[in-house]
Amino acid sequence: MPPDPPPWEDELTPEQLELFLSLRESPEDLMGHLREDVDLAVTLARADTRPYLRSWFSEMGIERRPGGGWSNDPERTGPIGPNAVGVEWRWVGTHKDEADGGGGDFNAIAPSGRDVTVRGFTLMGAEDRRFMVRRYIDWAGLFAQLGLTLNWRTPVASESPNGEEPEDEEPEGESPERAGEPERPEGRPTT
Amino acid sequence: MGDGMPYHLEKGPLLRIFEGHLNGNRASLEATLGVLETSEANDSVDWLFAGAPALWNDPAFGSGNPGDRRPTADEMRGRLLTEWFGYEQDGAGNWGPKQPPEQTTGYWIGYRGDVHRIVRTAMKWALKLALGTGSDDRSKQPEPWPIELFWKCPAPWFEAWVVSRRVPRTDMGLVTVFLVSPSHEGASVAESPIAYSAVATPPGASHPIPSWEDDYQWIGKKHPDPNKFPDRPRVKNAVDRDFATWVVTHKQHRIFGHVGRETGVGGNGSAERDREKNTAGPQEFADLTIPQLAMWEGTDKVVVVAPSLPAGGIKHDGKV
Repeated sequence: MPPDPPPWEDELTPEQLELFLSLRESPEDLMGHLREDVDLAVTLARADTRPYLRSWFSEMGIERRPGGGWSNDPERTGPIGPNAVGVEWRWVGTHKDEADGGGGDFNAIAPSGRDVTVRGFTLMGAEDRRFMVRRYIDWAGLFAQLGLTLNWRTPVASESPNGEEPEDEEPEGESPERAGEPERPEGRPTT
Repeated sequence: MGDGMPYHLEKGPLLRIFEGHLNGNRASLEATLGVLETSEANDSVDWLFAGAPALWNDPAFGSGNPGDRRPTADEMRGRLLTEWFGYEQDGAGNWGPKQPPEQTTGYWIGYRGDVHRIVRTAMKWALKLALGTGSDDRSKQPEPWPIELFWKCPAPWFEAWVVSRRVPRTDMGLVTVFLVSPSHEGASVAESPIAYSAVATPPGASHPIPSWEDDYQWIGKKHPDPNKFPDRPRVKNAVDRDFATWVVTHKQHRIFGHVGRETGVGGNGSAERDREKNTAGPQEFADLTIPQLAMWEGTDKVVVVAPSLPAGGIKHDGKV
C-alpha cells in the first residue's frame, strides 16, 4: 500500500512533487539529492512547517503580516553531517488586535496587536531507512514576545516517606480550652 | 522575606516581626509615618533603619553566636536591601541602586523595577490608612487600625496591595498589605501543603519545606509527632486560634502530560513527569501541536492546613 501523500503537496511545484515522491522510498538517495539541491530542501522545509505554523498561529490569533510570513536564512542553510540538510527559518506575523477580530483558541490568550517573529530550524535526514524531519522551534521566544512568563518556582516533591497520614483527631468542640494556657481574654486582636 | 518560602503566600517570622513593631499606638505610627515621609523627601532608604527604632534589636533575630541558626537582624536587613531592592552600599556606607543598573533588580527573576519605592509608598499609604479613622470625624477613632503584612509570590512584576476595611460592629478596622513579587533566584514551592519534616530548613537543605514546627495544623488530623509534642495543637479548636493562615488546596500536586502523546515518539519512559509536546522528535508527517508548559494536576483530597511560622505561617498567638 503506498504511503499517504504529504499533506503539503500543493506547496510544491508538480515537478518538485514528482521528484520528491520518486525519491521518497530511497531516503539516502533523496538526501543525496537535497544536499545538492538546497533550493528543494528549503522548499520542503517551508512546505513542512508552513501548514503547521498557519494552523498553530491561527489557534494563537497570529496572522501573517504584509512583508512577513516564512523566510529562510541562506547563511545557515545547507548540508549537515553525512546525510542531513538543515534550514534555519523565521515566520513573521502579528498577534491580531481585538479590533481585527483577533484572539485564538490557544488558552484564549488576549490579542495584543504586537508583531512577533518565530524562529526555527528544520533538520531533514534519513533515519531508519525513512525520510525524517525534526523541527526545532523557539517556542519560549514566541511565548516571551506574547508577554507570557514562566512561574519560575521549582516544584519540590513533598510526600510522606512511608505513605502514612497522621491519625484523625477527635471531633472538634469537645474541649474549648487551650493546653497549658490561660483563658483567652474577651475580644480577639487582629494582629 | 523569611528564611524560605515553600508556599505561595507567606507571613513568616520577618513580616511578623515587622507587624509587631509597626502596630504601636497612634504616636508611634505617626512617628513612623514621619520617618517614611522624610525618606521619601530625601529619596532615601533611611526609613528601613529608623522607621521603627527597636525593630532591628528584636530578640527574635539571631544572635550571630555559634549554634544560633536564625539569621541576624543585619543579615535580614542586608537581604532586603540587596535582594529585594537591588541596592548596594557605596564607599561612604550609603545604600542606593546599583550603578550601573543591572538588567534585573535584586534577586527577582525577569523583572526590573523600583521595588524600594513601591514598598516605601505602600508602607506610607498603609500607615496613613491605619491612622485614618474610616470616618470624617477623627475624634471617634483615637487608636490606629492594625496593619498586617503578607508576601505573595510569584507574579509577573512587583506590586503592593494595600487593602483596608472597617470591621463591622466594632470601632476598628484592618489594613492589610500584600507584597506581590516576581519569583526569585532559588525559589521553589512544595508540591504538597502537608508537612513531612520536623523543621522547615533541615541542616544542609537547599530549599525550605513545609514543617510541623509552631503552629502547624492540618484540620482533622492529629499532630504528626504527638509523642514529642503532646501539647499540640496548643489551641485544640482550630477555629479558636487568634492567628492562622490557612491554605486550602489538594493534598498533592503533580505534573502531568506525556511526551509524544500526540506524535507517538519521543517518550523516555518517565511519562508521569514528562511535560513537553515534542516537536523535535523525528517524524515524516505529523499532527504537531503547540507545546504547553508544565500542566499541574491537583490530586488526592482537599485539605485545610495552617503552615508553621518558619514555613511562612504564623503561630496561634501571633508571637515570633
